[in-house]
Amino acid sequence: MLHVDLAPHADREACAFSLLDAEEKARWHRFPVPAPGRRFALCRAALRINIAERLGCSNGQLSFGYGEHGKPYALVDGQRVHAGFNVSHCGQHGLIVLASNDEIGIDVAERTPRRDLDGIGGLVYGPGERDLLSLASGAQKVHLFYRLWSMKEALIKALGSGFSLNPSRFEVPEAMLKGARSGVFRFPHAPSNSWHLIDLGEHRFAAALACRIPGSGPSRRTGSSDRTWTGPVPDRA
Amino acid sequence: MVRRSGTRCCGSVQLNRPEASLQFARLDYYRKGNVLMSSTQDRLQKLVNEHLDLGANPDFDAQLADSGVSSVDAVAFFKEVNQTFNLSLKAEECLQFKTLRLLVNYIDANAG
Repeated sequence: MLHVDLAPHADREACAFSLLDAEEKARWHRFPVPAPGRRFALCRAALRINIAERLGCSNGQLSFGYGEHGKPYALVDGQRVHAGFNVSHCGQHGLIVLASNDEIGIDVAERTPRRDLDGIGGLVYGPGERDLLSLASGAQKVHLFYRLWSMKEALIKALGSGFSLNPSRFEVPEAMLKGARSGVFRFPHAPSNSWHLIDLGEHRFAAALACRIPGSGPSRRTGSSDRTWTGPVPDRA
Repeated sequence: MVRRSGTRCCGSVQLNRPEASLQFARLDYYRKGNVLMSSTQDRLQKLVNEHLDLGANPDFDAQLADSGVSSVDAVAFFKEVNQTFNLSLKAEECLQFKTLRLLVNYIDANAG
């Protein structure tokens, strides 16, 4: 796992921008305000450097495609490759996770107080999660809201479904609702697949990592070439 | 047809005819300064300004996927949209709105 410093820095931003391909530069120009463009460019450049190094290809050979729900995947010379990765950013911090398995998701979110956390939770949390949230108050409610959010977001990112899968239709494992930092999760609609779920949060930031347990069921990955990581298998957590 | 009077606004012409006024009234349009506004768009822009960081004058036709909005902000925004316009959009239904313009059109057609 990699941390990317997303603080404003003209030289690093210029360097990052120079590593992007034409499609990515066009996307950068479409951001309506500077901050998200900066986060995108710095994270994407860091991702390019690390994937190219692990695959043994040049930055120019590397491009990205997108799944049905927007999850990116790597292409080398236009061919999809076995290169598991996922990216999340929040404020001035980006996280990149690299793995041999592309069914992996990561999320980071700053625990910023908001009004009506129960109302927002009503759209995305299951009954047990909503009950737990309703019992909490003050800073504890804020902490719990983002803890649940990051875990569920990591899971739907690992699955590649985005919000096309209503997050209120599944709940994080009961032991993790009670405070455990890791657990094994199964989506109700696909119980043959098991997923590691890890709470990486700390006081200020909620963060979580989810990855499918190899051999736990049919992989959703299709159409990849044989090119794979040449370096050591990165840490899972 | 003889145009008796009218004012060009946003590429359309509003005639001083009762039936035209009624049509605009049903669609909930009104005049703001020299611009013909949808009150839905105006109300939605207030929510956007409060909940999403899209700059001073958000482009209602830009792709939301390119807005850089976080998922937490997006869900919080749609919760406010539900409350303001008496809708019951679910999280997964929010994905269908690729632009704010599509959301305005949906609200005009479905708001209670």
